[in-house]
This record gives sequence, C-alpha cells and structure tokens, in this order.
Amino acid sequence: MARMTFVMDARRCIGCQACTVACKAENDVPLGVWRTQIRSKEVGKYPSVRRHFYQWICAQCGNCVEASQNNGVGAVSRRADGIVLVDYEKLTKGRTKKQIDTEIDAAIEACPIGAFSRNPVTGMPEKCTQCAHRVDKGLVPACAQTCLGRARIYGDASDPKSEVSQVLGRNSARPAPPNDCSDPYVFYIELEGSLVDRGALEGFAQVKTSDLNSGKIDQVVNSLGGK
Amino acid sequence: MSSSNKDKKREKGFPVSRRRFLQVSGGVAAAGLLGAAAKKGVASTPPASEKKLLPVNLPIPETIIKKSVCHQCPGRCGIDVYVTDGKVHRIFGNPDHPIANGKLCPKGYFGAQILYDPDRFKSPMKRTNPKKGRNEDPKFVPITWDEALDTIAKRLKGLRGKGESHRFALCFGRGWGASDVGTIETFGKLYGSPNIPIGHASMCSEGSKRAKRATDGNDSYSAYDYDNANYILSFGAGLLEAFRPLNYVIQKWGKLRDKSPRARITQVDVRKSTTAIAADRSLIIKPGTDGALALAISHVILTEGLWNKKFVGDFKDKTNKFKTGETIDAKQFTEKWVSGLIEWWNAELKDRTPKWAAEVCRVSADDITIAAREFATGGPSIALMERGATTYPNGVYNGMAIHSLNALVGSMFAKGGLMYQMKPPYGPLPANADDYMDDYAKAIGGKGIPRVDMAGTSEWPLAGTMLQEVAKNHLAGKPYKLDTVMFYLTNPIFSAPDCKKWEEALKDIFVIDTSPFPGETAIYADLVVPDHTYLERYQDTPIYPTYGYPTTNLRTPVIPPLYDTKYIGDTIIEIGKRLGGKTGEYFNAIKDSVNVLKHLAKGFEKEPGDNGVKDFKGWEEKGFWAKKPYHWKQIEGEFYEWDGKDYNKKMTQAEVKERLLKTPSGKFEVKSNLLIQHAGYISKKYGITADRVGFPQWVAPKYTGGGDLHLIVPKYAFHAEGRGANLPLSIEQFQPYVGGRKGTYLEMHPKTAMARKINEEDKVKISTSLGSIEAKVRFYEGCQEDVVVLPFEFGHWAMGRWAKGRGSSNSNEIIENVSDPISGLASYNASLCKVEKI
Repeated sequence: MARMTFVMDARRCIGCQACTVACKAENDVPLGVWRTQIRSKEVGKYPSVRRHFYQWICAQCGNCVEASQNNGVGAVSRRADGIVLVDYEKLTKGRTKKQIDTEIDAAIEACPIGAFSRNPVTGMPEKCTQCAHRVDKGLVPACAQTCLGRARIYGDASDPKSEVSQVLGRNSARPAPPNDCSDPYVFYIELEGSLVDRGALEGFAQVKTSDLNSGKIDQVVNSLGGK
Repeated sequence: MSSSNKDKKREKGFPVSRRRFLQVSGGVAAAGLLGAAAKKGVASTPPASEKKLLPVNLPIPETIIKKSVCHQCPGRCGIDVYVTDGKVHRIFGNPDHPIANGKLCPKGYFGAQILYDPDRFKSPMKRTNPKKGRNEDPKFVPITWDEALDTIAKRLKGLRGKGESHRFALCFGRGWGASDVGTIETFGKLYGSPNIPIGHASMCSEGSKRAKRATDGNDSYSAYDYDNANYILSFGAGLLEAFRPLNYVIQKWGKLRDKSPRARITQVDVRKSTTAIAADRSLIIKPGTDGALALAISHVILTEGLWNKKFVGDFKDKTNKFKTGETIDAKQFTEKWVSGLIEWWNAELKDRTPKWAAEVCRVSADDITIAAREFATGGPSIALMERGATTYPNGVYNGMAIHSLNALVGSMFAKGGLMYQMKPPYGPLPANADDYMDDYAKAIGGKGIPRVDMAGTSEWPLAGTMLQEVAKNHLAGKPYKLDTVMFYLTNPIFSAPDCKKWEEALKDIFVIDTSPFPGETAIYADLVVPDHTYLERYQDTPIYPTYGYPTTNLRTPVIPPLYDTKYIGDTIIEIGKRLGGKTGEYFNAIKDSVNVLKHLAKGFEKEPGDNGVKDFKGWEEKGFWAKKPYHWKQIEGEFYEWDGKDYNKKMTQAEVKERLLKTPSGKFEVKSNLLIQHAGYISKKYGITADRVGFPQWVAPKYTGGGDLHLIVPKYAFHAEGRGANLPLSIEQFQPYVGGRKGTYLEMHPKTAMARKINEEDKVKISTSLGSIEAKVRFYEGCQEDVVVLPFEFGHWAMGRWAKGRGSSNSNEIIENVSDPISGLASYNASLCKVEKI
C-alpha cells in the first residue's frame, strides 16, 4: 500500500520561499492563508548569527479526520495512500451553515500545527492536499517540484526504491514536534527543535469561524500575514 | 464563475466583507483570488475511485503547455506556461531548459499576476494635463497607434530638420536581445543620435565588467563552473538572494553542499545576509573594503607560496622570494599568463598584510589567513562578486583585486573555475544597416556631439553609459537640453540615485513611456505606447553569462495580447518606417520583429542545438537553442580548444589573446594597460601617482551622505524585476519580512537602536544630505553596529494599487549621485545616514 510521504531536509533549505509561492500559484490559495510556508528563526549574537528553517506543512496526521467524524459527517477523510482530503460535497450537501461550521471548526481545533484553516473567501476548509491532483498523474506536489535546493523530497515510503525511502534510510528523520500529530506522513532531517514551538506552529494560516464572524479576517488578509 | 465577474472581484480587492463570505460559503467550488486563473487542475483527470475526494471536481478542459522565458530577473529561465481555455493559470520551470531544470525561484510564479494586472495600460494614450508632478493626474486619453506613432515620428523628424537629433534619447534597462535592443541600436545609428540607446548598466553592475576588462580584457560578467568548483569565495554576492540566475545558483548551491567532498563557501559581506548565514564561513567587513581583504588574501597566497605556478609563473630558481615588506627584482620571475606580478607586489601587495587588512576591514587577521589558505589549496576555487563589492567609489579597484585572485590560483578558464559566455550563431538580418545610412546619419559622428550623459568623454572616459547623469545634465543644460526621451524597461525617476532630480528634469522633456503598467515614469509621460507583457510577445533572449556554452531562448506569446499593446521592437520598427528616407527603407526591409527573429534563427541551420532546434519553428516549440560544450579550457597552464571530440587543440599565445585573455599583453594583467592609458584621469580622480594606476589596489572609499551609520540597500529574492512592488503574491510573502503591509523595515543592531532609544517596530527617520525617508525598525543581531540595512524597491508613489501606501522608504531619494570614476557605476552602498526616532 502506497504511503505518500514528504521528507524535509532542513540542512538544505535556505528559506527562499519558492515552495510557498509555487503552492499558492498551483492551488489558488487566497492571500492571507497558506498551505505551506518556510518559517525561520534567527539565533545567536553577532557575528555568530544563524538562521534555522522549518518547512511548515500539514503532516497528514489524521487528527482532523477524527474530529470531523466526531463532530459531523466525516467530510475529512484519509485516502488509501495517506493523503487527507476534504469532500466538499459531503460537507455541505443538505446541511445548515451551523453544522458545516461546527465540523470545520472541530477540524481546525484538532490540528496541532495550525495547518487546517479556512479559505477566507469561500469559508470552506483550506488544507494541504499534497497536490493530489498532480500526484494522481504521477507528478510530485508543486512545492517539491520547484524546491531549488532539493530540501523537499516526496514519494512513496512503502516503495524501497523510492528516493524518499532511500533518504529515510540514510538519515535520521523524525516528525516535527510536538508529538500531538497522531500518524504523521511528513518527516524532518535535522530540524532545529526549538524552532517548532507552539508559536511557530500556530501560524498565519489558522483562520477560524470566529475570525470570520468577528471581522478579524479582514485584518489577517489586509496585513498579508505580516506582524 | 465567468471571467468578467472574476475580474470585477479582483478589482474590488480586499477586504472581504462578511457578507461576501456568507454569499459564497454555500458554494462548493473554492474560487481563488490569485491570477484570473480558472479554477482547474493541472491537465489531470483524477481516477474515478478518488474523484469525489478531490478538492476540485469540475470538468477539466484541455490544457496546453507553451514554452516561453521568465522575465522576473535577467536570468532567462525557460518556462512552461499552462494555458487552459485561453487563460494562463500555471507557470513551471521548463524541465529541459539547462538553467531552469524544471524549477523556478519564487519570482517565477508571478507571471499570471503581471499578465492579468488590472492596472495595465490598455492602449496608447496621450497626456491632456500639461502640468506634471507626483500628484498631478496625467489625465490620459486613449489614442490610436497611428496617432501615437505619427506623433513620435513627427517630433523626431522635426528635431532632425533642425540638426538636433541628439536631443532625442532612448533609455533602456533590461535589454533582452537582438529583437529589442538590437533594433533600438540600429535605429539610433540610422536616425543619428548618440543617445540611442542609453543603457542602465551604470545603475546595475558595470563595476565588475570594467574590473574584468581592465585585467583580462573581457568587458563582461563571468560564467562559472559551479559543478566542479570546490571552494567559492563570494565578495558580497547575494548567491541565495539576488545573484543571477537565482534559480540556477540556488540549485548549484544545493549540489555544492551535497557532493563529496563537500564544497566550501566563504561569504564576505557587510551584514549577515541569507547567503552569509548559509555559508560555511562569513567575513563581515566594513562596507567598501572588499578590495583590502582581497589584497591581503593575495599577500598570503604569495608569501606562503600557494599561487598556481603553472598559470602564473615562478621564480627562476624556484624559491619563493615574496617576503612581507620586501621588494623583488622583476628579472628573477618568469611570467606565464599573468603580467606585471612583481611590479604589483612591489607597488602594492608587499605591505598588504592580513594584519593591515584586519584593521581596514574590521575582521581578524587569522580569519583572512585561513580564508586565503583555503582558497588557494582547496580548489578548484572561484572568487566572485557583482554589485556588493563594486557599488562604491573604489568599485573597480575592489573588483580588480578580487578578480586577480582567480588568476593567482589559476581558475581562469579552468575546470571548476570561471569563463565567459559564448554567443549564439544568429543568422544575418534581411538588410544591412550600414547600407542605409543617409548623409545626415553619416555626418553626425564627425560633429563631436557628446552623449548627454557624457559617457565616453573626458568626463567619464571609461564608462560605457551613465544613465544616472542624464537628469542632472539636462537640468544644467550641459552639454545640452534634451527634447524627447523614451523609456523602455527602466524607471530612473524611482531607481536612480538622487532620483528626485528626475522629477524636475522630466517636467520640461517630452516623455514617452513604453511600460505596460502605470509606474512613476508614466505619471510624467506625455505619451504612452505600452509594450506587451512578457507572456504576450515574441522576443529572443540569449542568456547572461551563466555556464559558458551558448544558449538562446525564444519568448513566445502564450496567449494573444489581451489589449491594444505593441512589442517595443515593433514600435521602433514602425517609427522607423514613418521617418521615411533611407531609415524608412531599412525598416520596411526589416518588416517586423517576428521577421527579425526568423532571420536570426537561420543561423541554427548550420549549427543545430543539442535539442535538435535548427529553425524558427523548432525554437518556438522547444523554447530554446543550446549547444554544449564551452569551447576552451585551461589545463595546468596551457590553453586548449575543443576540436569536436575533446579539448585536444593546443592554442598559441596569439589565439589565447584573440579569444580569451583579450588584453594588450594577451595575459591576465595585474598591471592594467587599459587603466594606464587613462593614467592622467585616474590619478587625478583618486589622488594617486600616475605610475600606480594600473595595479589592483586599495583606495579608501569616500562615503557620502554625511551621517554616522552605513546605509546598505540590498536586493532580496522576491524583488521581481520592475514589477515586484505591485504583485500581490510577491508582496504577501515578502512584506512580513521587510516590514508588513504599511512600511518597510530598517534592519538595525539592537545596541545601535537602544543607544538612540529606538525600539523594535518604532518609526524612524533616515536622513542624509539629500533629505529623509521613513521606515520601521527591526532588530537584527546580524547587522554590524554601524550598519543599517534597507531593501530597495519599496516606497513607490505610483506603480499600481498594491505598491501604493507602503510608506516613503525609497532609499534612492536620499542616496547621493556619486559614481565610481572608472566604471561609472553609481555608488549605491557608499552612503552614510542618520537614524532618529520619530
């Protein structure tokens, strides 16, 4: 059984954000929310300043799947190859706005890293699909396709011949902390642990129903995620 | 959703109201805001079993992939443009293209937003408000192309009738190839104006070109063999931010870090830039002292006997006589490919010790010695630089000192070293311009009329172009006032040093803008003749120096032009036709720009590309023509030429001089004959004795502006060429890093800020002798205490809805117009400033 997996090599990332932009272009992700992003943190005192990078992306762990089942009709589900997708028809058909929002908000709450959010234009769920439409054609996701330093490697971890398997075999890779992601499909090589604290995880993309109702979303979009 | 609805929504822009949310939340399809792309997948149909789980399950029409060339930097990456239902919705790197390799840097994805920019000019227009100013609405009214072109032709004919053709200037920034700049140059020759064209190289990176011409005779940027290099010593080159082609360089960076043994990279910089942080070692120096560091590295290489003897030469008795502070008799040394080494040592290098440089550059002497040893012994090594080391009044001397390192370790034309770029074998045009020069055009050269920027005159004898001087000279009427100026892909009214001068100058000049977008130039334009955007036009783009072997791309229209615009090459040809006479005859023979490209492509018949491209049709289909390999190689001090199978043909000294080391001596000159020819001028400008001018040497830079902090203005990776400030996708990613929606960050060391009672996020005034601008402060530990960093590109006052309203932080408004006397490169990074809390 295929197990589609990302391996992020933090050693090779220089934070150019080509993946971020490629994803937004590929998936028409609106301004103000992101499906993946490079987050960085500067450490040290002059002149020994270093920058650590964290390739923030949905770990496809399935927490949102469970939340969606427990709080709605289970519109979020995992495919056989591991990719977690939203069935928009199932989510909306014949249901009230309140029911829909409850299910979406439960999924947003369940995500430990803020990777499940709302599309501020449509109000519908927004999450990384690992570019399933490309993967089904034998292509890799847009972010991995463009990664200039080859810091994002994508493939089937159940196939011992795949690059992902080989990279996983050669290196010690682990999921990003914290360990709340129940069954992650994204692994990191030499990720700086201190970077992945709650602050870094609960990022720009977490748009909730309350934000939309309170008008806070305007701020999110207007500030373009800026500080 | 229909496209017109979509456009309307785009124009409305943000914020999204709650009502809007409620309206659409019931819908199934998630309509994106980015691009005007239809919400369709890549040309893919999901397998039936998975179909209902896909986020998008609309019917997917056929997608066509068109080959073209990116336009976001001069790197010239081949791109695959996905067009569905006549709409551009995806851009990827062309997998076959040797620069792109199927990848793109973050800028490459912005194309659709340029194409579908709602602020685009939709037809030629003329100004109806005679008053000009920042806040004056030009009150443009649309006109026909006939009216626009006739207006220009009439003006130009009028000037020529009065014998004043030199009062028409055409300024260009990014020239791409024979079909734009080539046409413009020919036009200038036939019309008879020394000011057609005035390029922007003096505001770009002319310093490194002149440093190379002075030492190895090639007035060019270099190509680099990154694949085989083992050590990179970068002097302020933003390899991971701005070096071209960024896409290619970052790919190579990954490769350099991955191979065994791993290549080492040392970054010399004035702050902890992205590149400096990612490098193995960084040497953070005082701004403008790159040359001192390079000289000290040379000193170590020579005193420790680490130079490449097969390339440079050696002492006759094979014992090293380079001893700190001691002169040497030149007769004791036999030179191979480096000319003037002992004289250089005696005049300059003998005292340039690491200890001396440590004080000048403010790094430790040990670090310099270590860098020198690594560079000389860890090869193949490359020393590279562009603007970072040369945008100072001592830029060419800095550059020469840096480039000489490549000669000392024998990297010139060697495996893992650097070389120059071969040109594509273009076919001849249908008419030869020399046959169409009328008496007026022939006579103009003999009249001694200087260029308006004085480039190439006794004022700037070694400068090829001085665009930044045009406004100043026009205002002073020296050498004369201009009448009409046309701009193509340059916006000096925003980007030139002391750019506010241009706002004065353009008030009494008839300004013709060719930009497809409303920029600052357009606000002052009398006539707008909008170009196609890059996804709508045919254009040849031979590559910048990258890897040596010749490559030329063809930009093709991926969709028909959206509006009534015209490719600049055709605009020029049409004006030429309207001028009549012999010029008219020539341009009638040329016909149009596609005809030009078809003739260029005939050159491929005899030399088909590696990808089989042998004619225009193939060029259009594949998007590029490229032919490996680079033809020359230096191996252990001997030069060889490619004979079709390998580098077998040993070259004579004369052949090397003709093709590779093009100096008067045919060698790499560390005593530059070019500079010696201008000894009087240079010695006066720098206050050095005439016998010293030829040597790469330390000249302390004169800082301008009059403050206590160095103002550094780098380019960042999201700086998309010319239009980045108005691209939502660019601004969205870029802005949080550089200052958020409403401002720009000034990077400052916390100590420096605290001493001025400035906190993070505080608004500050940055002042120089020219005035002040505003920014917000961001603490950065990677800044030196007397250096502040403000990225350029921000603070636009026109440019479109996204660029506006982000503060007045255009660094060019407060940077004095001072240039390197040799290259003429504007000293953008030589300014000092004061920073105060507002």
